[in-house]
Amino acid sequence: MDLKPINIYPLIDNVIKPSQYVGGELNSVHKDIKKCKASIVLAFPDLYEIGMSNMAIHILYNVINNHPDFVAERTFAPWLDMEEQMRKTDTPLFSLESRIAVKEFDILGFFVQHELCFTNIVNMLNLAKIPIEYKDRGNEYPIIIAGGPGVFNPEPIAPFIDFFVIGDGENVIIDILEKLSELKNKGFNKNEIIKEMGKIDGIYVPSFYDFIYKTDGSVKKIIVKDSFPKNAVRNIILNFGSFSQSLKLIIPNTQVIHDRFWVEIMRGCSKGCRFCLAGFIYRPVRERNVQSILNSIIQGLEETGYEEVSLSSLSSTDYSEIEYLLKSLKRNLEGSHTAVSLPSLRCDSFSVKLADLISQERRTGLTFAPEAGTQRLRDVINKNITDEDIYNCARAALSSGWERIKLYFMVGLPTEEMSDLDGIINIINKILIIAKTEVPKDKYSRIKINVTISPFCPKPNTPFQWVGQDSLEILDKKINYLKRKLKKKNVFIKIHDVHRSQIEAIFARGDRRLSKAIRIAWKMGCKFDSWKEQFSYDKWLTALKKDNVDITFYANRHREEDEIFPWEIIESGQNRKFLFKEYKKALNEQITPDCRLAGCNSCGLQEIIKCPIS
Amino acid sequence: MVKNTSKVIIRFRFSKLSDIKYISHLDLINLLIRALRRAKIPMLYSKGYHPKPKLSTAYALKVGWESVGEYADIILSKKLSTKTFVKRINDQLPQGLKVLKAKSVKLSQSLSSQINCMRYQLIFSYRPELVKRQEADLLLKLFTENMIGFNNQLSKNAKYFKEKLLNFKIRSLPDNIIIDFLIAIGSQDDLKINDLIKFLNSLENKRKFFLKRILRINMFRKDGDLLLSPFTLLK
Ligand code: SF4
Repeated sequence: MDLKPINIYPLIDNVIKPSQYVGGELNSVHKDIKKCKASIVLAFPDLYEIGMSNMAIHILYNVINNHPDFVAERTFAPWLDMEEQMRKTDTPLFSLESRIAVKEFDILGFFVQHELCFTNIVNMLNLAKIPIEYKDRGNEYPIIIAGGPGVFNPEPIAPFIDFFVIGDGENVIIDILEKLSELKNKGFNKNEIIKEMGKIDGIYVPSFYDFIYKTDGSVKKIIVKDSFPKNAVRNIILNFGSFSQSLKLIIPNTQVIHDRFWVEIMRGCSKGCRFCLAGFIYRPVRERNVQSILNSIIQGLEETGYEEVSLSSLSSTDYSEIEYLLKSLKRNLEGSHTAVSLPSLRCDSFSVKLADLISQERRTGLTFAPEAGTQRLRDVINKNITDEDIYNCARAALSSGWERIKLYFMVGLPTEEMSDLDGIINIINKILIIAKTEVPKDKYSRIKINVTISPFCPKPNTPFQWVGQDSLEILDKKINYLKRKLKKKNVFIKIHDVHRSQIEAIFARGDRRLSKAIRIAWKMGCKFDSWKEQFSYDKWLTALKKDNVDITFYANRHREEDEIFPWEIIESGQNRKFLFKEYKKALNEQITPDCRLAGCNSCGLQEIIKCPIS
Repeated sequence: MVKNTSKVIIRFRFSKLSDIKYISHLDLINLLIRALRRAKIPMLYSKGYHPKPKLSTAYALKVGWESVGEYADIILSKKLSTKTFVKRINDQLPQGLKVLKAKSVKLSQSLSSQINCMRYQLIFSYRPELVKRQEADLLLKLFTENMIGFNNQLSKNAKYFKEKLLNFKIRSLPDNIIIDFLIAIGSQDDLKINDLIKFLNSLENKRKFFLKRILRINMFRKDGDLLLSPFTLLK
């Protein structure tokens, strides 16, 4: 083991934002690695400013470092200029805390947010001087693991990863480290350890599964080696919130994307929007006790000095005691010049009322996501809001002084027709009319209606996993139509790149064979693909072509009901039967009510856990 | 005392050393404000949509440069002894940032309008593998000549320094050459100082030494031959 710290100073003298590489933040933990029974480096395959804005990194870092025997350090993807310096000086990827090569840790754990960070994973392994594929890695290398929402179809990166951790990581990460230190003690080698790990719930060891494909390219059969479980069932913690009590956020010295204190008030969402991966893979809804949230916020703000706190969850206005929570917060934070933010507002006037409540001092922008322009299409995607809800919401917001309204819509949703796009246009027009009546003449020019349009990308483990994505031509046509029709005063439209969305769609439902294309793309220089200025569709196209990948097969093809999917081994909790029923209901424009309000829909979760809601 | 008519202001000098030198000026401001909040220093906030504590600093330090002579003014909402202030804030500052001195005042002018010159130190290190001890003196001479030369050149920048470079001293230590200089400030000083550094670095063609550290030592108001520190200016 080479635990000598790397001298990073000569490298960072001439790079952008050098502070991102030096660590030393308040609440960062420095342990003596030699004295710990097991060590892990948490790797985030994007910049520091993105990674430090991710809740999971903070949670895992705390859970592990609170354990006396284990140590967790952090590493992030270096920006291009830093990478150049590292390669020039032959400096390996290092950890922020001890500045030792990440190769020296027992485990290197990637947090995978989405498909567009796959090339960064490859690049980081390469920078770490670790062979990219597990088959090329001997005992001298750390165990490479991965978790996060991006591994619910782990297959495209399966050849790179020793094992995947599916679902909530708070408990299982300790199980993993305990097992590791026990087996290390017993003298097990790395392969034997990985094999043993496969016995822990929710862990998926890809090398124990083989795929056989049909001539049409789809999966024919999955062969399970030895006596490994047929499925890796998602880890679900039911004592949610007990971890958050002692959570000490690392306070970056330098600005990050979410530069504020946060508390996770709730995990999971039961709305059942059919396009939404997060809405399924984080079920069931688990709420944190309101008093404990209040205590955490008051204590956390005192300890960190932050001037803003965010109440995080997938749908914070659905937290059952949200009104009480906000009112108490307001009372408690009176005079402390602290802002409260709600990241995810439901599209109704109740949400505006809540936003009003917490924004006495600042009233700039509100964000809502109607997602589709007509009632019909919103029924298809199970977004249970009406046109009236949207208008009431806009009316409430505009009349109480909000000047910017941001609206999210998708194009390319299943069954979408041009009339659904006209629906989007109608909604915007109607909001403009509302603004004319609600906003005083002298202020009208300040009104901004920001419309963000994203191409729909079908995700695995959702009811739309059977659906093909619209082709680029169709998506372009639809988007251009909207662009033309929404050229209006006070309306500002932002479009998410269709090309990036297509690459995302390919890998979202891709299989192991795609790992080769990822490597080719990386070799050609693809990295930071989620960064607009870095993404190169041309390079990706060349890489896919080089490996004879049929884009249509992965992105645009409609799947048969009984097709075996590459992510079949991962059991997200919602069973196939339920998801398919939801898909059929979608096609019939039938909605499924929120199970928290209308009772259990038997999504499948009730078969693996005692669902606290049902 | 009538509220708000007599403001309580604390002027403090602080250092920015080691790793924290890599944060930007904006980061520094945020970091100071958060530390002041943690330290429960009673601060006066601005009115309006985005209330902010009234913290003003003198001249921004470039990312990567260090300092033992940074200054800031903070307006308090309540009286607080400077001793308590220094203790509380230092308990909350991350490594590398430290308040060295504080003085409470009823205010005058802003820091940046009071200051007109700064003292810097450039520390060059020898490359031991290339420089034999006896050569050090020669290098020192080279440096001195070049500094004077630079100052006398008729280029635009040199002219600038002729007016601005108030004095400089070069000394040689066993491992370093240290250049101390006092420079009058105006617009775009960082750029000008950078020019100087670039110029000195170009001497590095000889590859015998390298710029190890840029340290801001202090800032002053120069009044004739008198150098007044920001604390004396408060009177
Ligand atoms: S098991 Fe029933 S109650 Fe629980 S999340 Fe699924 S549908 Fe909702």
